[in-house]
Amino acid sequence: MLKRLTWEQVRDVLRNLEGMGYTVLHPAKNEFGDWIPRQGIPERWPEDFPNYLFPFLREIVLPSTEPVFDTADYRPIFHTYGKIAFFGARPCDATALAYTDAFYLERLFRDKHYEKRRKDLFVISVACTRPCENSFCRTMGAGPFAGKGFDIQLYPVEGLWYAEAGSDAARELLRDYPDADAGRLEEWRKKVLERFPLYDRTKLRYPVPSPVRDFLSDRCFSCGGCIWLCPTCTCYNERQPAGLNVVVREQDACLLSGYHRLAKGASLRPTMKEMMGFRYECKLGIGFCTGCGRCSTTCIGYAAMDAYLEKTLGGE
Amino acid sequence: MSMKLHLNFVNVPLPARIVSIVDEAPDIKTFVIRYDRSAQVLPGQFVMLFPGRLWEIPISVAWTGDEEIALTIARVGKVTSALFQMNVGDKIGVRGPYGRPWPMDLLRDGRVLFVIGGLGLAPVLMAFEQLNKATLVYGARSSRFLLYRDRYDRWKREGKEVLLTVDRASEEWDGHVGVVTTLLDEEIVSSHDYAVVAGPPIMMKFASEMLEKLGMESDRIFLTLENHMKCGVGLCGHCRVGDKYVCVDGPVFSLKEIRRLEEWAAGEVI
Ligand SMILES: Cc1cc2nc3c(=O)[nH]c(=O)nc-3n(C[C@H](O)[C@H](O)[C@H](O)COP(=O)(O)OP(=O)(O)OC[C@H]3O[C@@H](n4cnc5c(N)ncnc54)[C@H](O)[C@@H]3O)c2cc1C
Ligand code: SF4
Ligand code: FES
Repeated sequence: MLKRLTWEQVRDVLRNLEGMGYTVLHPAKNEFGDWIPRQGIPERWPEDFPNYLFPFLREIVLPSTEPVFDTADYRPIFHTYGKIAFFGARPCDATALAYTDAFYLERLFRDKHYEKRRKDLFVISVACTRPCENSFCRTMGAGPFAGKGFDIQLYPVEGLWYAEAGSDAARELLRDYPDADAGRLEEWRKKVLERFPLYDRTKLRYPVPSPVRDFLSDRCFSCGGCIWLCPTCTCYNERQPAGLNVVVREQDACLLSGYHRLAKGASLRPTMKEMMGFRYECKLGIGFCTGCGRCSTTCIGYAAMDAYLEKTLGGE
Repeated sequence: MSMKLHLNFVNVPLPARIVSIVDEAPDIKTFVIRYDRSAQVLPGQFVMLFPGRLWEIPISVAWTGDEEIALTIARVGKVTSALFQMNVGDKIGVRGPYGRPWPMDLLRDGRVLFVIGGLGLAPVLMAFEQLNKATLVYGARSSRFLLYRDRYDRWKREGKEVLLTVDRASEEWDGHVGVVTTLLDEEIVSSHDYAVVAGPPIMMKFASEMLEKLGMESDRIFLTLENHMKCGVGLCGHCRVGDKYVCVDGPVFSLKEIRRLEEWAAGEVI
């Protein structure tokens, strides 16, 4: 389903969602100039919004820290933010959500904590028109438009908003708006796509050439920043924090040595090189990277995806 | 709390109770736990165990009884030490059973050589006892560390061969001395169709390489991997090797499968 809305009508859709009990979040700048999700219906779409540095969609479905059960009676603890309509998600992050959905909901065991929060989440992604710093989303097939992971995807076409429905709930919400011309959207998409760099995907595949991996692992400080910010990094630990009667799960990072530790201090991957290999296996081998560029933005050592790209693509 | 609510959360343990604790060897005990899902356990599977504090750890099910599971546990660190402080009657958290079991249908078809080191006897015990044509080649640090000694005579009476070895002989030991691979030769390997290998990683590496050298094909050698596991249900990411998650795609793999994973993970060539 493809519809055509004015900005006021987009706001009507958001108001409808509020009426259905959703808290609407939209991108806004805080007093320090950083982009954060703010509650309410936005007055206008912020043209200059690149993306959030922090992967808020991941945080909503899988909080970095959450209690999971009570150690006294093994009662499950369920933490929720309530119903959230996330307006202005970038396509790469919607795609990341589709990846984590497949991982947490469509394999042998379903994660109920994730599932409950996911059901309460309504995602409205807005297609990108300019590549943001460090990103290579087009190469990874995650941008500038998402193929999945959204309820509604909006395209700012010629002063109007084309709306693509990605779920039954969205089809219901958009039903009465006029249909949009799919051919016109296609033309627009083609034009926009040209602004986004496309690297040779075959060179970005795992296995990472060893000289590149050695270069990256020599430069990594093992700070864990890339993992904290990656929209698809969801590995976790579970433990009882000292003095609390709950077991919490908290995000874990495969570039920290504790992640790979076995009993008596032994490790499955004792060197940085092996840990780096493990990370790239996941991001490029299994294919969890969306090309959002956050790891490059935060890396203090030049050991993230930008370095990887430059080293593998050479002069290109 | 209702059971139904509980079943929904794959990462929350169910309350169970310790019914007996058996001393097996220095720092090794078997905990028998009343657990109403015992009938679901297949040979080679494991459970996640929670001693009421700290965190959960994966432990293989050694044997099952009527609503009971037995877990043989070595004290090696924080959680296992907490378990060793527990008593009969204490509440304990259990989840599972999880993991790919030994390929029993395949193994029932032939003669199976079990090459086992130390605590590795726990994850193969059910499989070994359920098979008719099986040989056990079993080694431990010293005779005190040979597990389940009261079962050996019965196994022999059932027509199974039991070959034992110890790394270091004590005074009362008059059997074979040497690591477990010293008991392997072409004759014993060629008289079996499959091999099952379990034990410390280094022992599994040497034993499976030797089995292969002596003529056993890599898709007929099965091993159980003990990777770092936090969730046991394929969600936390810790146990990943290559593109497989040991907790759900394993812990049992054929040597051939492991080779493929190692190649995938090595990532040296492009
Ligand atoms: C499928 C499977 C079956 C197992 N079966 C048995 C068994 O039958 N009997 C037995 O005694 N042990 C078994 N283990 C090993 C057992 O899980 C570890 O010895 C235990 O986790 C150590 O915990 P700890 O806190 O006492 O040690 P610590 O050294 O304090 O643990 C440090 C950290 O490493 C983790 N860890 C350490 N070693 C392992 C390991 N080998 N596997 C997974 N996580 C580890 C712990 O969870 C902890 O987070 C099995 C492991 C796996 C994966
Ligand atoms: S690896 Fe880097 S570029 Fe890829 S999704 Fe994660 S943060 Fe974004
Ligand atoms: S133990 Fe968590 S994914 Fe395997």
